[in-house]
Amino acid sequence: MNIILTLVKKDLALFVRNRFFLMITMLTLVAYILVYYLMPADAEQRFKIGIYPADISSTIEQELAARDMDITYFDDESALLAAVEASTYRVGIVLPRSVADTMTSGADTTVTAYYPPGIPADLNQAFNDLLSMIFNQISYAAEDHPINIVRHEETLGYDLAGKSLAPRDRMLPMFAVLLFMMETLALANLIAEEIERGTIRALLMSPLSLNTLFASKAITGIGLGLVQAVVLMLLTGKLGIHPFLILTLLLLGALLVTGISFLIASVARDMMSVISWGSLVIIVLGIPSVSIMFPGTISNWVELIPSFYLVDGLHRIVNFSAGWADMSQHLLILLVVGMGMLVLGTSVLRSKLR
Amino acid sequence: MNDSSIIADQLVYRYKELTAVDHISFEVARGEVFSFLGPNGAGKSTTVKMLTGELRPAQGKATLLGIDVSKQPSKVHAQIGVAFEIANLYEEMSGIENLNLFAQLFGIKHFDANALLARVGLDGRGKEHVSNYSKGMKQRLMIARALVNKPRILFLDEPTDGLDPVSSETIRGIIREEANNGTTVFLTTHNMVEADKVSNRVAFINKGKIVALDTPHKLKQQYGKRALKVEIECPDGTLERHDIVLDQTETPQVIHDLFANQRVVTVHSEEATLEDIFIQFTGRGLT
Repeated sequence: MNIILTLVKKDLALFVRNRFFLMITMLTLVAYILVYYLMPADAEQRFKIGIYPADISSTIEQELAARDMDITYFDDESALLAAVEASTYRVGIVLPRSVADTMTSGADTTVTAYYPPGIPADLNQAFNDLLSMIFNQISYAAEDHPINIVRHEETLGYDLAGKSLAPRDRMLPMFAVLLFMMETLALANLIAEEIERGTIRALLMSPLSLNTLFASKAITGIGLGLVQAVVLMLLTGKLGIHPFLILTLLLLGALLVTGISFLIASVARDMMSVISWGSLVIIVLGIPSVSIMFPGTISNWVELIPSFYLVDGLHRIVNFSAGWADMSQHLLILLVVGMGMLVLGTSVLRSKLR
Repeated sequence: MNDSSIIADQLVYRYKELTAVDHISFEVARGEVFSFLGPNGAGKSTTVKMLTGELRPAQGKATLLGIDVSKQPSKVHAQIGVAFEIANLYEEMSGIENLNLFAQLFGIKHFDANALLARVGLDGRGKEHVSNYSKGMKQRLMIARALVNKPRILFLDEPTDGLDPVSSETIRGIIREEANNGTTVFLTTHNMVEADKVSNRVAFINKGKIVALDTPHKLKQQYGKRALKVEIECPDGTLERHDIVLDQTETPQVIHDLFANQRVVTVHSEEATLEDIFIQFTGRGLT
């Protein structure tokens, strides 16, 4: 145990003296915490809609007001279009002057919707459908034939998309994973440099065994990743939600990325190749974060990426107060895959050293 | 019980189709300085790696201090010191930190890094980062690191390669001191002159096989040719060189005739070197 502690102390000293990784690590941690607090703490729940003209009939105005939308009426069409183009409104609707009369008469009515640049196609389609539905309802109501549909909605399992979350809370699991990935690179670099510079040969000429050496590296890697992720959770006030569950999840996440570090170190030669291989890994492991930030955009194949169970688990715990029972499958998968990665990484490194 | 510190018994190592070390056997006694000489690719480093447990022999057995290296490498490592050819120190750490790290790995309590640094001529430089050290300083620190555990066998790989004369002499002094204290020194080198100066015995290795093994003196006596190099002035004023091989029956007469009939300008005696003998055995030099 003393030997492992000696090696961990040495690795931490080397990590701190590597200015590149130290600076990147510190900057990343500080930047993520700053970004978290700079982002709005509340979710924007109501769509902001602009409508021209301002003097539409009171019937239509009442129908629109009954819906949970933030509506602003414009006297000037060009002002509405400018506001939509500036993304102040999600949609700008231009109605014909005689819209109420046209609807009542049953004639065709043209409703024009303007969207801000960059609106996703699926959101655009959703708005189109929504507006058609709303105006059809208004039209029926105007003709004294209201459509009386009682809506009942229920999402089965965890409603991960339905609850309005502040964007920063959706991003938090991604921040944690990115911090882990930085540590993956730092640890892989420590190991690759030991091999490249031959210091590992010197270490193995002492009574130290390869297993002890790998154990010390694993402890260093897990420790470095875990501490930063815990600091992030602590400073964003999320650790208190389920401290032991979050710590366990982060510990298993750190185990996973440490195994990946070993694999990267076994194929990399120096810092540049560590960064090159690491970038590839970061892209793949980062994909599950997208499914948290933009629910429904990625299909189920994302569950094949092991980091999914880290980000999704963290997301469910900090944003939906999931408990041990809810997380048991995530924890088990992370444990098995993490141990597998560690064993695989250790074996590949061992064969490289021989 | 055998008094040998190192016993290599029919060691064989293969890199796929290539047999790098081919049934090598030798013994090195306690307190002996044994030099292993050979050109690049001859099998020196592979042999050392098998002796130190870095490589497992395909055949044969390496025994250090009575312990089978393949079976108990950690036990062997506790009693040996290895200084590698290429500096493999922690450059971002100081000299003292490097030594203290290894002292802790060897479980040495009350270790005095400064005393060891002074012994290799690095006193006063121990707190500097190794990245600031010169090549000679790094080489001396490597040797200090190899001495941390007071080893009973010291493996030194090209310890003076590319060093200035002062650093080289410091290292040769340490080799002699260690040998006098009973440490067995296994030296791998290209430098025949150095091997000649410090070794009790030398072994020539070529293409994975030991082609000669004896004391430098005996090798030179047995295989070397002493000679005189004579320069004479010709009637037209040009200089002509003659090599006269000594220890032959006609040698006195040849010398006599030369001095009687020619104007001799310079005469130098020349002893056979280990390199000459190595070339005799292998048909090639060491570099």
